Parts: sequence; structure tokens; C-alpha cells
Amino acid sequence: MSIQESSAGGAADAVTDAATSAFDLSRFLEVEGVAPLLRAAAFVVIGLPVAYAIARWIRSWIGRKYAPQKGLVAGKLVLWPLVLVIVISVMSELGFSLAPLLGAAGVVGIAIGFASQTSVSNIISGFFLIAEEPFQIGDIIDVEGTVGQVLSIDTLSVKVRTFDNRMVRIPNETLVKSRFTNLTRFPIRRYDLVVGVAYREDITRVRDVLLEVADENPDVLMEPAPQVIFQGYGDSSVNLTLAVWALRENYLLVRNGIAEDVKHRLDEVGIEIPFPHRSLYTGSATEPFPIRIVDAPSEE
Amino acid sequence: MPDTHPSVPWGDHDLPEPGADHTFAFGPLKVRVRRVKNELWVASRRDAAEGSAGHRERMPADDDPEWSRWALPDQDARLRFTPALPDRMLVVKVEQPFTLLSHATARIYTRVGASVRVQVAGSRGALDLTEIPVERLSDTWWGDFQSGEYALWLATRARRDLTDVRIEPWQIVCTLELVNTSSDSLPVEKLALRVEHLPVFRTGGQLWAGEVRVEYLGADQGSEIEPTGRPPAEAGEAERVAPARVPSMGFRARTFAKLKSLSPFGVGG
Repeated sequence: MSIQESSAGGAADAVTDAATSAFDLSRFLEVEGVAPLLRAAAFVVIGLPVAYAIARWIRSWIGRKYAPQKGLVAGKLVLWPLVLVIVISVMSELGFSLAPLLGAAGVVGIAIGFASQTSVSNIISGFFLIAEEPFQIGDIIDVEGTVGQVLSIDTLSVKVRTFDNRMVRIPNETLVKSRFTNLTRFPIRRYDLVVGVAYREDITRVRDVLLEVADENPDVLMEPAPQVIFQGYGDSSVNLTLAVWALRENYLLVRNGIAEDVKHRLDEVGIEIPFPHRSLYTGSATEPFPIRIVDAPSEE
Repeated sequence: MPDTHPSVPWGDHDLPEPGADHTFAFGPLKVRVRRVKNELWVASRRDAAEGSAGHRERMPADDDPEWSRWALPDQDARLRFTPALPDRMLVVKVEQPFTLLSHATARIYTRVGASVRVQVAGSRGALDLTEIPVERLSDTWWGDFQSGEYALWLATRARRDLTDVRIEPWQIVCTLELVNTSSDSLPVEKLALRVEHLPVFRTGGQLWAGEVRVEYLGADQGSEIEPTGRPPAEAGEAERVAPARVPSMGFRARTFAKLKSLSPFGVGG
């Protein structure tokens, strides 16, 4: 036990001695010590802007040539190693010996590793998102009820702008783990409008009227053709679905327009959209509701 | 030079006097032009009864039109109306489909309402203001559910000759020479007419699109489309009034499809 303590204590002393001898402040106060300081400053002042400029150029070029998010990743893949090289160079110029630091980093790394599990997971998830490409910058996605436009795919998270102009940050890990919908991946979308009509209506006539309404809306695509699908006999109505296709850019226009057009046309041709009916009985289901007429008091 | 045809005012016209309105009729389309100070105001209205597309459009009332306004660089500019083909591909549904047998040829004609290109022509040349289609065609999709082209829908009889056909001066006749060089029979039910590659010609008040030759190579190989850039022989010595929006010497693309090739339920494709 004492040998281990002695050994451990010796290692700690060695690290401290190495660090002390590696970073001797008095060295920089001498005339010869100014040169490494200047070189270190040059690495920071010139190296960092150059690294950022290179990364920005790579991001822009890849973004233009392939996709914006590929550009973002490529930019970061270039920037981080460059920054690391600059940091190592600066430390080297300042007289830091990397070997003991790396040794110490190994110990500290384990602690940091435990602490940064989530961040690392998000970083790796970000790469999966880029590789799989389930959405691109500008797409509209629905993540567990949050609908918005993808602004950026960053190292740790995806930034989404909702339509009421809020910024939502979604960790990359969440997107990899959960189910989400890309609403704008494909160029055309179908809108299904459920229409309930009274039981007394002629379903064939209703179908013809609904198809006419779809046909007259210029934003509804002629192909894939509009379709009326029988849904079933509801409690108060016969339910039909009018399925129409629209360009994704016109989807909201069609969604609002077709609902309005259907209501107007059904009113116009006298087809009833019923509301729920309830029949009340007392006692036996077949007997009428008992009514007793009593003499009303005279107003006089 | 104003067009000699009385009913369709293609060509150049004086701008209205400040404060005055002029209305120009292109079949079912009425273009109203007003001048206010150095601005030109343009509004349009389409008469649904005359439009062959038959849509009940929400058009502004005559007394409250939706004006578009432009400030003019020249006060002595001229107003110019030029016919143009639609700015998107046409998907032509053949109302009476036919089959083109292997190594057979067919020449078909289809009519489409022109777009009215409104320009002002002055010392700085002609400046485009707007384009208004004489008929509002429905939108459609050409392709599958994952990729394709946004197009306009045109139902036509795909006539084999123009005898006894009334062609309005605001309609453009498109002539297609279909050639089936494959070993398969080709059902001609629905075809893509890429009008953006066709110029417009005029002769005697009649508008013609540049002739296009479509060679069907087989189901897997698509079709070779060759816009000739010339008016069809039927147009005689026609004058070119509008260049192709996208000039092209020829390209290969899918041109023919069966009716209802896209399931409304979103499957297949």
C-alpha cells in the first residue's frame, strides 16, 4: 500500500515537475523569449482567421455543389483539425510539452468522457443525419408535434423555425431516436377532406358534386386525379373522403380552398351536411315521449 | 404595327392618355390598361363562358379590378401585345386515344390558348411587364410521386387534320409529327408537349407553334424530341413573332404515358 502511494505520489510529482519545467514564465521575460511569444501570437492572429476562411470556403463550395448541410459538415471537418493544429502549435511555441499534458488528459478525459456522453452522442447523431439525409435545410419537418422549417443542422442540434416564428432546438440524438415526418420531401401532396352527408342524400350525386368542385379548383392537380372514397356509415352521416393532390407549395391553398368550395357547393345544391342527431325515449324504446297538456293560467 | 385582325389586338398600340382606360379583348380575356402620371396600370378579367377550360375562376369585378402598376421610363413608349406559348409543359390528354403501330407515323394538331405578353416598347427596347394566359388551364403533374414536372393540363382531340376546325386568333396550333421507331405498339393517350422549346409564328392572323418531331424509341428509352424551329408546312411563309423560351436543338425525354398512370391513392408510380 505504501509502495503504491509512494509510486502514485512520485508520478504526480513528475507531472508537476514536468509542467513547471515546461512552462517557465521567467523565460518569456528575456529578450530571447519574446520570439516564441510573437510566433504564438502570429499563429492565433493569422492562423485562426485563415482556418475560418478556408472552412467557410469549403462549406460554401461543397454547399453549392452538393447540399448546404454537406457543406456545413465539410466546413467543420476542416475547421476543427486546423484549430487543433493551431492550438498545438501555440502551446508548443509557449513551451508546453505535450507528452505530460496528454498523460494528464488521459485521466481527465475519462472524467470528461462520462460528463460529455450526451454531447458526443449528439455529434455522432449529427453525422448520421447528414449521411442518411432524411431532410435538408429548408425542408418542413414535424417532430413530435413541432412543425417548422429546418434552418440548420449543427454539431449538436437541428434548429427549426416554427411558423409562428419561434426557434426550436432539437438535439440530433432526439431526431435519430424518434420518428419524425418530412412534409416537403416529395413535390406533390394529397389532401383528404372528410365530408359527412345526410343519409337521405344520393351518394352518387354527392360524389359527382365533390369531383366537380375538385375539378373547378385550378390549384388541384388533374393528375393524380381527385378521388372520392367511401369511408363508412357514421352515427349521423354517410362519410366520404375527397382526396385531392396539390403541389406542395399550394398545399395550404388547396386545403383551405377546397373545404370552402365544398361547403358552398353543397349548400348551393341542397345537400345536407348533418350534425349529430339524438333521439330521446323514456321507458320503452318504441313508445313516444309522454306529453301532458295542462291548462295555462290566463294572462288576465 | 397593329394586327390587321379586328378581334385580337396583337402588336403595338399607343399608350392611353393620362387618366384614361383602354380595354383590349383577346377572346375570353379582357386586358384593361390605364395610365396614371408616369405609371401604367394593367388589370385583366377572363370571361368564363367563353373560356374553353371552363373553370369558375374568382375574377375581380369590373369596377374593382386588381391592378398591377409599373412606372415607365419613357412617356412616349408604345404598348405591345405579343402572343406566347404557356410557360410550362403541357400534358395533352387525347380525348379519342389511338394506337401508333410499330414504324407508323402520325401528324396531330392541338390548339392551346396563347399567353398575352404585355410589353412597353421605347427607346430602351421592349420591356416585359407581365404575361396573362387567355385561358386558365388546370395544373397537373408529369412524373411519379417522388419526382416529375409541374405542368398544365390540356384536353384535346388530337386532330389528324384541321379541316372544318374553327381556330380562334388567340389560339396557337401545335403540330406534332409522331414517329414510332420501336418494335412496340404505342398507345397515344396522354403526351407531354414541351412548349417552352417552341417559337410562335403568325400568318394571316393565325398563330402556329414551331413544328416538333417526336420519335418514340421504346418504353425504356423514352422519346427523341426534336423542335425543328420552323413553322409547319401548313403555315406557309409564316413570320416568327416570339422566340422559344428555352431554345433547344433536341433532347431525349419521356413523352407518352397511359391515362391514370398515377394512382390517386398514392401507390405505384
